[in-house]
Amino acid sequence: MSGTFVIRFILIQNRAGKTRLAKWYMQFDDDEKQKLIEEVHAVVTVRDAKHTNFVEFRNFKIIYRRYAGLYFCICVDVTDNNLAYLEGIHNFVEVLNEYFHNVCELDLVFNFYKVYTVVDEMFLAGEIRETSQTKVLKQLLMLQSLE
Amino acid sequence: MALKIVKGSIDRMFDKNLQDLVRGIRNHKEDEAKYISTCIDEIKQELKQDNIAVKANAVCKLTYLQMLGYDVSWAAFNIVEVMSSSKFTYKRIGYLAASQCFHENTDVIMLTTNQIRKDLSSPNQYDTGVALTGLSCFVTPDLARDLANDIMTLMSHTKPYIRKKAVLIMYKVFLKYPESLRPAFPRLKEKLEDPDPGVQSAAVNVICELARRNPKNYLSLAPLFFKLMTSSTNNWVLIKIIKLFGALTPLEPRLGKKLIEPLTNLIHSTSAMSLLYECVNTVIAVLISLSSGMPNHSASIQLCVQKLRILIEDSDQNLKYLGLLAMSKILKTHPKSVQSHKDLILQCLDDKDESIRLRALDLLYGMVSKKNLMEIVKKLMIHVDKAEGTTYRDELLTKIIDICSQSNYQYITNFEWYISILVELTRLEGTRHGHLIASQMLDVAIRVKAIRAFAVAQMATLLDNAHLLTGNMQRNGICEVLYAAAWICGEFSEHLENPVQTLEAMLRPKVATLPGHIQAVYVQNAAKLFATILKNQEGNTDSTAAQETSQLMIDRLPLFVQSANLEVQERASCILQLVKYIQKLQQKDVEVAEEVSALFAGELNPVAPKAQKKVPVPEGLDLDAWINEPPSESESEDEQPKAIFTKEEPKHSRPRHTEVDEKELARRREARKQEQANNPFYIKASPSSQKVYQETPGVEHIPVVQIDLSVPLKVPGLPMSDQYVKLEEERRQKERAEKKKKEKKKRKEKRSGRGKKHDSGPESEEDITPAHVVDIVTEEMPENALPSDDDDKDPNDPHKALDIDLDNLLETTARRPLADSEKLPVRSHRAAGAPKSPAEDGEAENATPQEPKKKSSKEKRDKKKDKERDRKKSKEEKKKKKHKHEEKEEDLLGGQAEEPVVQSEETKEVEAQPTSTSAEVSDLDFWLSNAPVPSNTQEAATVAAAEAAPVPEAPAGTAADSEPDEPKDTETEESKSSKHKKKKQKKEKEEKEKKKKKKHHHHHHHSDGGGEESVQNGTVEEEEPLPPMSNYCLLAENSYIKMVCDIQGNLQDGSQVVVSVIFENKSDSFLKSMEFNVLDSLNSKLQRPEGSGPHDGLTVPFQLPPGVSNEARFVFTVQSIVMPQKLKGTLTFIVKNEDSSTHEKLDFKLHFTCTSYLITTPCYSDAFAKLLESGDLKSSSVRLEGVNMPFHHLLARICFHHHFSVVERIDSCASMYSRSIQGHHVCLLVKTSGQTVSIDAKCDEPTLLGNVLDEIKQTFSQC
Repeated sequence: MSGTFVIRFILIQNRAGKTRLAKWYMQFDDDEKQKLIEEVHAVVTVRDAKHTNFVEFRNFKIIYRRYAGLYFCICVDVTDNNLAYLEGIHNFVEVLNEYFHNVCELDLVFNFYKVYTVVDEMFLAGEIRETSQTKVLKQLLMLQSLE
Repeated sequence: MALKIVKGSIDRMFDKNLQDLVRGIRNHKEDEAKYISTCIDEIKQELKQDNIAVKANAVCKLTYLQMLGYDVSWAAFNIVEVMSSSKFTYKRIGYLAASQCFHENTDVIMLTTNQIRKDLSSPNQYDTGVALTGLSCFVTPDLARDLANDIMTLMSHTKPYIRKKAVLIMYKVFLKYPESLRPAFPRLKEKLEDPDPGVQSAAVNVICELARRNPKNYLSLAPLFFKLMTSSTNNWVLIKIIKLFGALTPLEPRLGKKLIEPLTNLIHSTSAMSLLYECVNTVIAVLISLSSGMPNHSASIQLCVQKLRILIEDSDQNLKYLGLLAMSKILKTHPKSVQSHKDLILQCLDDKDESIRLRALDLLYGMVSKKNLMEIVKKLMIHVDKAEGTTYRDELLTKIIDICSQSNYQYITNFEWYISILVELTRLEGTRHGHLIASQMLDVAIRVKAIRAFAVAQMATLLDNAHLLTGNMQRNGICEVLYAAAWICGEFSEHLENPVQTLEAMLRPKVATLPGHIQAVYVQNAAKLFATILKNQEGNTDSTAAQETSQLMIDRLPLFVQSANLEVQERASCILQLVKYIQKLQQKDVEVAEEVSALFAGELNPVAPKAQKKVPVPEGLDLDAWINEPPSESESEDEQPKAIFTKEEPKHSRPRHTEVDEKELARRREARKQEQANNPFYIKASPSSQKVYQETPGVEHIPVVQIDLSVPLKVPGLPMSDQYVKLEEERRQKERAEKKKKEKKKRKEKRSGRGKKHDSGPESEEDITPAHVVDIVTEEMPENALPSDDDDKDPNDPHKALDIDLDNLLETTARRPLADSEKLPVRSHRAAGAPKSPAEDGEAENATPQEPKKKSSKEKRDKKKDKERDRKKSKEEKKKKKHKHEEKEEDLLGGQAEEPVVQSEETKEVEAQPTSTSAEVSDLDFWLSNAPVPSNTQEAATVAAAEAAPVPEAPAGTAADSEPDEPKDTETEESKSSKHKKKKQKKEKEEKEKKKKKKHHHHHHHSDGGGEESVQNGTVEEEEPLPPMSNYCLLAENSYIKMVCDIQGNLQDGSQVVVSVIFENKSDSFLKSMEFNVLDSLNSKLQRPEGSGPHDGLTVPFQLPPGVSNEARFVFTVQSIVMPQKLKGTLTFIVKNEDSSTHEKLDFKLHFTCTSYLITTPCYSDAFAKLLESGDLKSSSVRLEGVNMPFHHLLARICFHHHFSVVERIDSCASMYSRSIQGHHVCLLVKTSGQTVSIDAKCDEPTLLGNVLDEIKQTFSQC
């Protein structure tokens, strides 16, 4: 189970369980990935606003946050700081919002590769890499200009 | 060609792009799979085209499909194609696809190595960035090994953007290729002080993560992190560091003391909840590690508890949850501080979120005391009634039982109350935990003798009302309690008030619907009851009552005799016959009661669960010894090593088995199988069998009366636990009153006027006396039970595996100085598939004999360092205390920024040798003892004093020379030359940084000192540590640039030699347009790219910013390898300053020794012997005089510098083997006596052999 920093994977799913982003920082085979996606969906969508944003999940825990119809989930070690990753998710969503100018689910669908770029700019190898929104956005614009 | 392009672009017009695909999928919701399979077909067509744009589009679509869960592994090769596109847009798509689809077993990853390397060294930082990001997802051990050096170089990239990525990816590389940790660690550590905060935090992340898995190796970095913690304002970094400290403090309590203050400051000042939470957690960890109650820390605990209370009271569920979580950690060490918040925690039981309720339950478990147990359990029982959802209710149930039964029922003062709680719990609908309740009932009834009468009465009521429990077969989880009830009533039947009624209840026809194992207990205990009843009735004059009882048994038992359950059937028929016989005797007026009850005489005592395991082996019993001689006829066993015998010992130890031969055994086995198959009562597998019996139609036909469960479940005779709470309250009050009275009396009597010492304030734990004098029978253990309790460890803990992995990583590597074999492999000269047996070749990898060194300013430096090292060493030996004082001053003067770096290196490396550890760690000790904690300072100070650290002093660069010359021992002398070599390699990696620093600080000797120190404590081998060695030797040097090189043969191509040259920019200017050129000889030629002339130079594929070094490889073609040769060459380059640029050149001479043509090849001794016997080899020999080093050093040197491997070693004699790139065998027989070493050698090429031997001789003459 080794081979990564604390983040095991990042998932964005909608309420129906459609994957909008799946970034794996741990090696799983394809079947396992699908299984995980389904399990996360099952665990997360049954929870509502009165619940905490943390769920224990296998040997890990999932820190998630719901924005409109989308669930942003990060799977980390049990010992890790829940609040920090919760803030990390929010930070990520704010960057997406800025980058896509009022992001909506369809933006993520049609530009899924850009979303991966955003993830890669903010997280790397399972670790939070950049937290400054301005820096990330600047970098993203640079990358876009290369297209 | 043009047509093709046109065709391609026309095709494209009809291609779907990603948007089309996404829309298409959305429009085909009903037949998505079908739509996608047509899309995949299209994509396959697109991938067949030559147009890279089409391919990239196809791969992009595939990536999307992959995300949706479709298999795209078939396109792996196309992904590689797109990755290698030169256009960034496509490259990025390729890398994205690769990072999503590739995994360790993807074959094509092997093909990507060179492409990735190219991208990593691309001048475009975005290419590099995208390659790094991709690599982080699919790095394999092979990629990690091949690219480690490139990534390490990128850690010093000019762009922080790349540095940061490279640093983070290094962690991945470490995990996949642990050997890279040691070479890369110094640079990683430097990054902690990178000017860019982002890079800094990346380095913190990596080191924290490494340290978290294996804290003890990173303890020495504590001062550095401490400094970072107090200076950083980045919350993310702070969280990481604080978390790391949480892992370190258990190892070093003094660190904890030092931390408390800054952490409490942070707790007070920060507004970030995440940081606050981390601080609180670490403070708790610290306080736990300071196990002995430090009175002055109660304030910190109070602070934490207060802050947590604020979190718990917050309306934010997340904070509430985390507050409870952290609270439970405090609970373990400071239960009192938490108990005062009981009200708050009980409130949380009402929370809407189940996870919060569960956390609160966890807390309650630790909060109970004798005083509040009943109250808490009462609250919980209310929640049990209210709870929706069986999982939460079951959780409550287990928690109640856990809470009550913890520490051997420590907190229970009234067992009647507990039994009634258990009985109340049996009324839970649909619980899975009937078994748990049952085992509690049994445990209490057996172990608490005083409670048996009460328990039996309760159990009898339960049995009487069994229909309430079993009414619904759906809920049969709970019927497990009947098992306990029946057993208790039977076993302790003397306490029964109305045994006949209970007997009747146990023999009701409805019992037959219970699971088999419960029925069996019913039947058996009915017999026990029967015996008791007989005994009671025999005294009576009227014998009819007794006979009626017998008749009852005879009437009811046949039902059980027909049971499908073997156990029930057997017991029932047995007992039935017995009762029939008894009845006969009764009719003859014979007294039978005594004899019947003798069947069940004797008391059963509880046995501890591990008792069997703990029976000590009696003296003189050897479990491994043979009882009979082992069978000799079985040939397979004869060949097996002994270990196998002992494993199978139980089988053979039976003489019966040994006499029977295999055939007979097989025959019997077959017969037995046959028998079992034909026996309907043979239970093949217990879980399924039970099910089968329940489903047999017979069971269904038995009429089952359904009971309406809406009827209130209050059964007369069942006690309500609440009453006990009230009673207990009253009792305690009474007790208190009595006590007061007594005290008053006492006081009156004594009149000593001691003041109000016995003030009747809130009663303490000890004041509460149990309601009954309870004798809790402890579980029985065998005499002389072994005390060990190692069986509690969970071998399946996933983190344990992880831990070991990193343990290896660090312990086997991190403490040794860098040996040359550890250097990161660079570019392609690693012969793929070259057979290497690490066990044999040890340190040896690739070597060239030393060229006589060009002595320059460098040597001076070396000398200085040598001295310094000597000084250090002697210090270590003599423990000169006078230096200590100086050091202390040093520390106080600051320089903390530099100091810790050095310490860490030293401590880490020295730890390998336990004898010197304490001395080395003392610097950390000193740092720690600075902590303003009065209690321990003295101790710490003495420790520091006793273990004065021999740390090389920073400004003492010159002072070192003025030190009185210490007598150099031989060992030092010897390793000196090797040190030269070693240092070179190290320097290549470090020097540039050092130089940078040199301008500002004069601390650079520190890092050297660290490295030097390690020389003495080299590789830990079975004998003496080996000095580290390196094969890089100086090629040429001037004021701008230094070149060192290593020459190795290429096994794959018998005519190629690869020269790895490290270029190091020594100047302050930018070096560019470097061209490497060699004057070819007839025999050896530099391989030049196609189309270039024989005298053209090769462009070095990189530029060198000031202070940077990088490595390039050049391939030479060699015809004959039997002779060494020298090639003249020139390096030309442009030195670019801000205002000017000049052309410069540097001449060098490449020396191809014969050993550079040898390749370390393992050889087994039998193959070696055959080789020698073949007689094809010519022999030669050489004698070395005055070799003053341990034999294994000598061998290691030959292995390392001359690419040999040891075939076999016997005492002071060893055989060695190597092979040339053209397949010549070289065999050595090395013998030593005294200081003389003789080497007899054989080789199929005498010239080559002669030269190799000369080179070996030269190596040792330099020692």
